[in-house]
Amino acid sequence: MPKPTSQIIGAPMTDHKTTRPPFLGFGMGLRTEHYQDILDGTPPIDWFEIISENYLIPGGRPLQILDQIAERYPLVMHGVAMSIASTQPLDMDYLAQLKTLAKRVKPNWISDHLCWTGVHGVNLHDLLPFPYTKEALDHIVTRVNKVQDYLDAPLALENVSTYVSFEQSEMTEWDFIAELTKRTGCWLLLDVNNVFVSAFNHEFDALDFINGIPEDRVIQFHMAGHSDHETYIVDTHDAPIRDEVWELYRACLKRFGHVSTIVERDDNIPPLSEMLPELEKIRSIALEIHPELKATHEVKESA
Amino acid sequence: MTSSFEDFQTKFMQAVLSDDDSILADVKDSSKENRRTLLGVYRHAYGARLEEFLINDFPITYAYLGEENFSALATSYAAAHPSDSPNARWYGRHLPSHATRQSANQNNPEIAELIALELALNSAFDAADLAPLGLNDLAALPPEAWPEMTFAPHPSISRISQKTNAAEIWAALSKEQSPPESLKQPDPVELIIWRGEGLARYRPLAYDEAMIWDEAMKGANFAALCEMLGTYWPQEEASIKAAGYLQTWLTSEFLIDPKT
Repeated sequence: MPKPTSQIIGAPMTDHKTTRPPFLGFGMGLRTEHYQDILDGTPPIDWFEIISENYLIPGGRPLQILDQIAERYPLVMHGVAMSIASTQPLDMDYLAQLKTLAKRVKPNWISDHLCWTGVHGVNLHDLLPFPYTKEALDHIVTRVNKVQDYLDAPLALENVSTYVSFEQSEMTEWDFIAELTKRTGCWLLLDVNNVFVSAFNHEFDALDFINGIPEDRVIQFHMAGHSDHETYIVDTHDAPIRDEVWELYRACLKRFGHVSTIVERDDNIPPLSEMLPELEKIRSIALEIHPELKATHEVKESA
Repeated sequence: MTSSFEDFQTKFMQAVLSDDDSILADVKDSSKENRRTLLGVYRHAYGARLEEFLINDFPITYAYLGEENFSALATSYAAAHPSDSPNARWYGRHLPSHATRQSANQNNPEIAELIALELALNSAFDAADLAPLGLNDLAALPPEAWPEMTFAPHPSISRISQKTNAAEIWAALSKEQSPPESLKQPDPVELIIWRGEGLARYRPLAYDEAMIWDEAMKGANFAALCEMLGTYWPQEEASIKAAGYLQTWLTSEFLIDPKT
C-alpha cells in the first residue's frame, strides 16, 4: 500500500478539525522488540503507531531506526504525557518537542489520552481519572483548543481505563467525550478494550458508551488485552485480546465505519510473528463487516 | 484561589504519593469492590511503574543488587525524587547521587559507581547526532596549525573517575557472568564513555591519556597537551604519544569541530 501523504507537513491551509485524516488500515504499536523483524522483512502491517516519548531524545539509534520505518510505513504519534486534563499549565517545552518530532516523522495525526498525569510539577506517569463535570469540560476544552492550534496537526484523544468513579461527576464519560469533540473539533481514538474495562469497573453497558460517541469523530481504534482481578479489571496491555472485546470491536466497526486500527501491547511483548494473528483477526473482522475494504486492504497470499 | 478541579487533583495526587485518604470521600464504591481497593490500583501502579523505569534503565545494577535491594533503592529514590519530567527517560538521572547519599551504600561505594556508569552509557546511547571529526579532517589541517589546535567532545562523551572495580562488575554482569568481589582500587579508574557504531561503550584511559583528555576539554591546545605529556615522557616521545592519542580519539569518534 503506498504511504498516504501526511496532512501535517506542507499543507498549512488544512483545517485539521474538519478534514478527516486518511484511513490507514490495520497496524501495530511499534515496539523495540520488533525493530529487526520490521526492517528485515515485509510483515503484513499497514502502519505503525509510535510512542512519542520514546523518541523525544537527542539522537542515536532509536531515531535512526524510526527514520527508516517512517520511510516505509505511515506513522501516527501516540503520547502519554500531554496531561490535557491537568490543572497545571500546559508543558510548552514538551509540546515543542512533540512538534519537532512531528516535523521529522510526518505522522498522520498526533494522539494522547483524555486524562491528567500530575500537578504541581510532579509527574505520576499514570493516566489518571477525573470527575466528569462542567468545570472539567470547560477547562479541557480550552486546553485542547490551545494544543490543536500549537501543534497544527490533527489531534485525537483516547478514552482511558479507569478504576474509580467520583461523587462529583455530572455526566457520563461518553457524554463528556461527545461534548468535548463537539466543542473543540478534536478527533477520537477509541480504545475498545478500555471501554470494556471501564464498563466492567463502573457497571455500565459498553454499548451505551459506544452509541454515545459521535459516529463521525473516531479515527482510530486500539485493541488490547487486560488483567481480570474478579471484582475489577486492570488495563495492563500485556495479554491477548479477550472475546468480549472482539465482540465490542464488531459493534464499533458497525457504528464508526472505516477506522484505522492497531493491536497495542505494552508489556509481556511476544515476537512479532506471534502478534500477527491478532492483527489478521482485526483485519478479517473489519473486512467481513466492511467488504468494500477488501480491494485495498486484504492481505494477498504470497506465491 | 484554587478551583475545585485543582483541589481535586491535588488531593488525588496526595493519595497516590502518600497514605492521605481524604480523596476517598469523593470516590464511589462499586457494587463489587470498595473504594479503597479501587484507589489502591493507582497507588500500587505508581510505585511499580517508577521501579520498572529504573529496572529498564539500570539492568546491571538490578542484577547486582537483586530484586529486594533494588526495590528498596527504587522506593527510597521515588520518595526523594518524585518525577518532574513528562518523559520517563529522564526519571533516573539523579540515581547515582541518591545512591551515594544513602547510608546503606556507604560501605558499598561500587553500587553508586555502577549506577553512574550505567547512566553514562544510557546518555551516550541517545545523545545528539553531531558529525564527528575524522582522520581526514586532521589531514586537511596545515602542519603549522597543529600546535594551536583545540578540541571539543562529541555529545555522547562522558568521563568518570571511579574508586572501585565497578567497571569490572559491569563487564561481568553484562555477559551474565558472576561479578568479581567489589574492591577499592589503589589508584582511580579513569573511564571514558561514548557511542560507537550506534552502541554505548566505555574503556579505561591510561593516566596520561586521562590527564590530556581532561585538559583538552578545558581548552588546552595541542602544543600544551604535548608539553604536559613531556612531564611523563621525553619531549620527542611525548609528541608521538600525543599524536597517537589524538588518532585514537578521532577514529573512536570522540571529537567534533570546536566551531560546531
